[in-house]
Amino acid sequence: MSKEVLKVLNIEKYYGKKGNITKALNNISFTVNEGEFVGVMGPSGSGKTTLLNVISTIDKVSSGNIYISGKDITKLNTRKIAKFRREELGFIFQDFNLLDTLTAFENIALALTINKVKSKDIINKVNKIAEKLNIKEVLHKYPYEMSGGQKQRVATARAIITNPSIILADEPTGALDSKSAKMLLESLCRLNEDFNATIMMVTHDSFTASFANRILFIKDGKIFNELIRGKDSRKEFFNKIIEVTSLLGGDQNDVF
Amino acid sequence: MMFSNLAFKNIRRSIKDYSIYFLTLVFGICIFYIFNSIEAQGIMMELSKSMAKAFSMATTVMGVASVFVSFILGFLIVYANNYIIKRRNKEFGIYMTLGMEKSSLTIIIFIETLLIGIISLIVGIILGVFLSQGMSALTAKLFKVDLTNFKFIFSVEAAVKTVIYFSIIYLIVLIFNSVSINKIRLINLLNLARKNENIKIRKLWLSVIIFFISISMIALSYYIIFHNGISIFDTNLFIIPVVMGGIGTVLFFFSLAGFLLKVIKSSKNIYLKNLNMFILRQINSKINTVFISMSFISLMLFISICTLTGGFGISSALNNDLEELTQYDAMLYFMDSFDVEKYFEENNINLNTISEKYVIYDYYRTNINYSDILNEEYIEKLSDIYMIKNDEYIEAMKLSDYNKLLKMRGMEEISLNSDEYLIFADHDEVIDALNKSLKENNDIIFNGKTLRAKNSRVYKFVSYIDETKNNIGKLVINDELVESLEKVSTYANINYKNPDLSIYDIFEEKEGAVTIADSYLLIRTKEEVLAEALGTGAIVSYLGIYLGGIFLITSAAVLALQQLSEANDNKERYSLLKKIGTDESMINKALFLQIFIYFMMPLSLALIHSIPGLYLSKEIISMFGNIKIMSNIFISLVILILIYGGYFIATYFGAKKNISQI
Repeated sequence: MSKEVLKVLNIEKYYGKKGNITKALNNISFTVNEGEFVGVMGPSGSGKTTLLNVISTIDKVSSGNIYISGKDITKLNTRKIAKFRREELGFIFQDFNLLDTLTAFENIALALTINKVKSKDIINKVNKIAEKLNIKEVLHKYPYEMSGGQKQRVATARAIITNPSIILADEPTGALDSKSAKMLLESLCRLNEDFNATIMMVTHDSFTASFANRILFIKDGKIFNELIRGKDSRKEFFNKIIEVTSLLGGDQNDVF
Repeated sequence: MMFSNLAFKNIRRSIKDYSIYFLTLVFGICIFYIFNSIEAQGIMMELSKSMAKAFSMATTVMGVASVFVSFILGFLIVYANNYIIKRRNKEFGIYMTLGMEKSSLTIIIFIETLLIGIISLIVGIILGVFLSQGMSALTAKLFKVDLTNFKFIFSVEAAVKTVIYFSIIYLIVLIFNSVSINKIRLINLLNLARKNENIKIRKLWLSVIIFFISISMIALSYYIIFHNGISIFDTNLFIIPVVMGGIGTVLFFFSLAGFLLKVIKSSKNIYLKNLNMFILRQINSKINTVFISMSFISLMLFISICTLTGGFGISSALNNDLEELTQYDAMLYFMDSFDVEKYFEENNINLNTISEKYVIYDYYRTNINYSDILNEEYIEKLSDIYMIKNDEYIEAMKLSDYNKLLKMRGMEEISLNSDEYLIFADHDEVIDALNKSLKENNDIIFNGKTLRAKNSRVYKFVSYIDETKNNIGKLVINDELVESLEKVSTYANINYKNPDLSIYDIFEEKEGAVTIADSYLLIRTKEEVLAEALGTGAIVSYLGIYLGGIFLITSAAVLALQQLSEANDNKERYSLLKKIGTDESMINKALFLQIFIYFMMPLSLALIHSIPGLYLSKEIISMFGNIKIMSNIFISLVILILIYGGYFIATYFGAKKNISQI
């Protein structure tokens, strides 16, 4: 059994005041092991974004514990949270969140400079990761000069360059066309296989989800189902996902 | 009514969001009121007739300056409003999607502008009324009079003027706002939240080249100023350093950020440290759009430093020589050869009625020119003095007249040997040159007779009443030598019997320069000269402080507004930094540095510009008298640091509050 990177234990998250409480997360527990590529799916309002937010320390849980690399992140103070984020987490956002004033190189390097890495190492590391993600030729460009796919790969490079314990991706293909989306997902798979990177990806798109090894389905703040790809081909896995999502009453059902 | 309700709520928010802008409005109105209320302060002082004249002169000059100031403030207000309207586009977009018509939107803006106007005027004038009480102490000091009856003063005139001027400004703002509201399209409004400023990235090497061009232009204009000194004003040469310095300044800001980026980028250790590259890119991305306003701010700060320093300096300079220049109560000056005694007799004028002592003395044309006494190198050096440059003749006075003047002043009389002359002057620079020249060779050939200077030195003596020392050398020769010479002018120096008497008791209605008989009479009194000099000093001081102060707050406010209105873009950027785990302290430091560099860029160039600027203004002031320029620079620097620093700190905390709301 490989190492547990993320362990979520009985977490709950409430919104609102007494008498008018919404449970966004209702007693969720699961673990993610090192080198896993986990997808989190669920319809709108299911709590998947809240889950991602509490794991990424952007939001706080109402009760329960979250352990990342054995550390209970629900107990961290503000200063430690910043340190934790930059050392243990990598973020990929739907709308890329690159700094428009910085070149691709600088955007990637930023993740290292705030970690006070030596300048020589920064240049080497950025070049190495850029090669892996096929963005070497855009390194000197500004975000507005790049395509969406290139931007998202730059953002991926920024997320992975610090060797985080876990990469959190929030709808990473949401703003991409299908071809760029496929390219990005393939790079994520490569990072997952080659670097043994642990990835947790939130999505509502079954095609995107089919690239993961395991999928957690969330509905009304609870884990509703879990799918493991195992030895299935991506096509077979995709079909299974479709079955679950139709049960779940998600996006696909809305058309009926 | 719903609209006014909405407008009220908007204003409450605007005042909070744009408190720096609002405070600047209040300061502007306050300063405007204070400098227009000077006339009213006169009630508190006992002013003589000529003093009152100087006082009303000051009022007139302030009135003219106020028109100029209202243009500056009007520009600031229109500019700031444009900025604010642009930033509120999304809010307007929401109103319009909800179905509000543009005319209703205009009404809301109208009510808002009206309310802001009324509030700022009330607060500004109240503040002005209180501060003008302190101002009257300064006025009394500048005019060297006592505050005889201290009263709380409210100048209705100044208040009305302030209200009228600012109402016009707000009206113009209103027109601008309506135009920009009519231009907006809903689809653009809703998309505005996404970035709309195209980031133009220039080639960095271009910035480096332009940077060096700008530096050499600025250096060259400095060189021209230092090389030519004050004589630069005599020629059209003056325009060259002004234009070149101005263009150099614009190019400097056009290229500065790119140049810094290039330089710092070449040191990877600095560039890739903490948030350094982020800060530099922040500044570089903005400077492309603000370099013009940055240049104007820098030039305004420069003018502000110079006028503030000059403003504090000139009144003390004027007062230094004044005592020596007002040793007599009154003076009459008759031009050309004119028989004064005869004129007095014919017109029944008897100076004894007012005078306890008076001396009438004449000047004569000689064949001695300045070049006969001054060495060549000094003629070159003093070429900015017209008489020396044109090598005019030196006038001569009888020894007996000179001794009468000495006696009148209670000084020891002087005798000359038959082969001696003496030369007296009061212009410091010329005295210096004459003394050095006399040491080398002091013989003059007077009507074929060689005379030498008594004691080989210049006698320092002021023989007249005037605002400035302007005697660049007069000869004194034995009486018999004068006989063959042509008389060119006659003076009468008078001391009154008692202080209630005046020369105008005799020469009624002859104030200033008048033509009498076949001569030309000029009357000067001690009182007039003192009032005029103090008045000039006060006017220049007021002007310097008034304009300097307005320039200072305007430029600081524009900088602050630019930084604060950038907040939305910055909010996104800083929140990303936070998300990827940047330390709070590192973020705050980056924000501080970003704003600090923004404020320092125009200031540092302005400070460097003020070295030649102050050099020139010191030369100008020294025409009026000597000043201790260092203490004045110190005072204006303290004011600068207080006001500019205040704006900087307020901006930093405003921006910090903004990004901490993430």
